[in-house]
Amino acid sequence: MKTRIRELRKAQKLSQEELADAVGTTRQTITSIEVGKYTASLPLAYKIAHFFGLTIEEVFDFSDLDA
Amino acid sequence: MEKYRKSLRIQNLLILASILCLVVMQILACSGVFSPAVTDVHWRDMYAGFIAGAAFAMTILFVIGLVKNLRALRSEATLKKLYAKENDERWAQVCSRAQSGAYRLCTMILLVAIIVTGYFSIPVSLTCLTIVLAQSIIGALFKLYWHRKL
Repeated sequence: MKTRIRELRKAQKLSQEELADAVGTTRQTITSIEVGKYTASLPLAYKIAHFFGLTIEEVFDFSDLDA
Repeated sequence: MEKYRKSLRIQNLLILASILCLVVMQILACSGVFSPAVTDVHWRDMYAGFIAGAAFAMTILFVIGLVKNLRALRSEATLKKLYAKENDERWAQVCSRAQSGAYRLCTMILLVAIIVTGYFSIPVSLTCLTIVLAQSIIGALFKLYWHRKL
């Protein structure tokens, strides 16, 4: 699944480690979500979106599910 | 986080009790109270050495775990990191998939082993069959439990 996490993180000059600490997960999980290898669960997606002050749809791209 | 802190404290107590048991067992084994149930002296000594080595390795692992927990209990940041690491959803999925794959592979290997060993040794074949049956029954019970729970 495509996400805007990398873009949002870079805009706020945050490292993966810092974002992981803020949302209570590990750096490896953030890496996997950013590259699209792993799809975050609903609670984690909510935490990430909430951290950036956005909605889940604004951070995660669900267009793949429409097909 | 307070709940996790409490669970770490309980874990530490269990680790300490395990270390104590291992040390007492080793003292008793070294003083000759315990010895492996093997009649041949050479093999008995070899086996006693193996058990002592395994017990020592287990003690070291327990001590590492204890130090890790104590460090986490002293610092809030380390505690949060340890909690995030232990409750990471991706890691949980990695473990679950790896275990499920290993379980299926082991079952298939055992099924082949039942047939192959059946031509050479009936006790070995029956042992493999017992393991497969036990594994399947326990697996089915766990599936039923999680099917109802989730």
